Amino acid sequence: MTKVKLGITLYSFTREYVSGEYTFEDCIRRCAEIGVDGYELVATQMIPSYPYISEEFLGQVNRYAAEYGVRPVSYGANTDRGMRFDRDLTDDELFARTVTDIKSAHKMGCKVMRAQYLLSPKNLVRIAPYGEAYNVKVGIEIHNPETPSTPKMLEYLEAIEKSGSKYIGFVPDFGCFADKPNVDSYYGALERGANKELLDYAVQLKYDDVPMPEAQKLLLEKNADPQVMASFFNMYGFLTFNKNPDFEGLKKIMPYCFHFHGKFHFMKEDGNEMSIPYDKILPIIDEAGFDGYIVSEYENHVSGQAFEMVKKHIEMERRILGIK
Amino acid sequence: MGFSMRMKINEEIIQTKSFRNLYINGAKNGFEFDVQLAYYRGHFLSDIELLEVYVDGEKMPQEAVTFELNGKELPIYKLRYAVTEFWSQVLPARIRVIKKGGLPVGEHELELKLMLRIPYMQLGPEHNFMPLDSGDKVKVTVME
Repeated sequence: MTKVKLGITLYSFTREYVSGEYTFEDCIRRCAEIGVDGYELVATQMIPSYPYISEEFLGQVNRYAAEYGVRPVSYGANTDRGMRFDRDLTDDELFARTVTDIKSAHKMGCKVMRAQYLLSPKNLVRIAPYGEAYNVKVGIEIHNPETPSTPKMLEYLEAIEKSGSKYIGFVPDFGCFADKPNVDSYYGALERGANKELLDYAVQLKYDDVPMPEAQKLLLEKNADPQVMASFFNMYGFLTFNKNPDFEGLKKIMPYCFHFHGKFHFMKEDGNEMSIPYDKILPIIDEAGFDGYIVSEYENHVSGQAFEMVKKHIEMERRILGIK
Repeated sequence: MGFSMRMKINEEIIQTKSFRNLYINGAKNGFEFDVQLAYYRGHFLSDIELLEVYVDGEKMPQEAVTFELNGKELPIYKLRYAVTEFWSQVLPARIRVIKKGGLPVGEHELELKLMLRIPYMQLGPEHNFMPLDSGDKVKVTVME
């Protein structure tokens, strides 16, 4: 039987929460309706007393946990290196900020904290004893266009391995294993008037791993319209995809993964995600004996369909993992 | 102006219903309104790079403008130093503008220029971060 647990990041309900349609409690109630018992939150999004956990907020968290059976499992920290007007924060300052976040994660009862790559490998190692003291594991998010095997992530891997600590590692985001363009880069662009022939050509260039400068030149020679070019930049950037996703890299880092972001953009009628091969990713994680949460992260949160989409996403994961 | 991020998730940035005259010692002497940050997460006030208020195209003097959050009313020059004041994107801040005699009765165009740094989206070395545009321009009516 699988040890994988399913949860939801409340970030999926961004539109509903920010527009006032859902309260914090509504977000948690929705998780219960979908049938998960754990959630992640983006601290800077849902904690009004950020970076501290006020007694009032903690009371809400505990009350909703008791009432709905859904509790916080992961604290999404931001690495705000640019928060001063005059200069970047130093590594020492970023370190101190991260310790504050660990204390807040601990106060909420989260055993995992997501950090971002502006926290250097050296700082991640330095944070390990603090994570251990508070029993909070700190993971660097692996987000598109990074993959487990890109040079930046290999630097973290080396630092984590050398440290020997169980309290630092990775939080991979499944977006980095996409093997098709995402719904907006393709169907969204078509709706906005992109030329289909040239858009298909742009997709093919990426699929064939044509280097970006060369691909850009080829598209511009054919007078590709701005919509095609916008998709082109996305497909080579934060929304990139690969014919051969980095599954080998994933297998290699599995001992250092204690949490995952189940990123998705669109659930198709057939119950599968449009651009991310969950049928290939989930078995790798399950077979490695992963004992932790995958939290569904609905990225197309402006759509207003978060609840339905997240529900379908959790159903897909249960089907693939054989969870009743 | 180069590229800046725009993410208006909430219906309004300037909350038009909150707009009202500011009375000092019983006399109309300015106006105030609430503003909600247009982004998916909150920011420290030190991320604010520019905050200016215009009425019918006329810039209000910076010294006449304040920004109030959590009971702290800050003059604009202090925002950049406010590294411990966190502005949640679901809690509106109040902008106050002192203007002698206030605005004349009738409709006005109220513009807020509000630019921030997205402090985790570094574009390059030397303190280069993605700009966020949370500005707004609305029609408001002064009734009395």
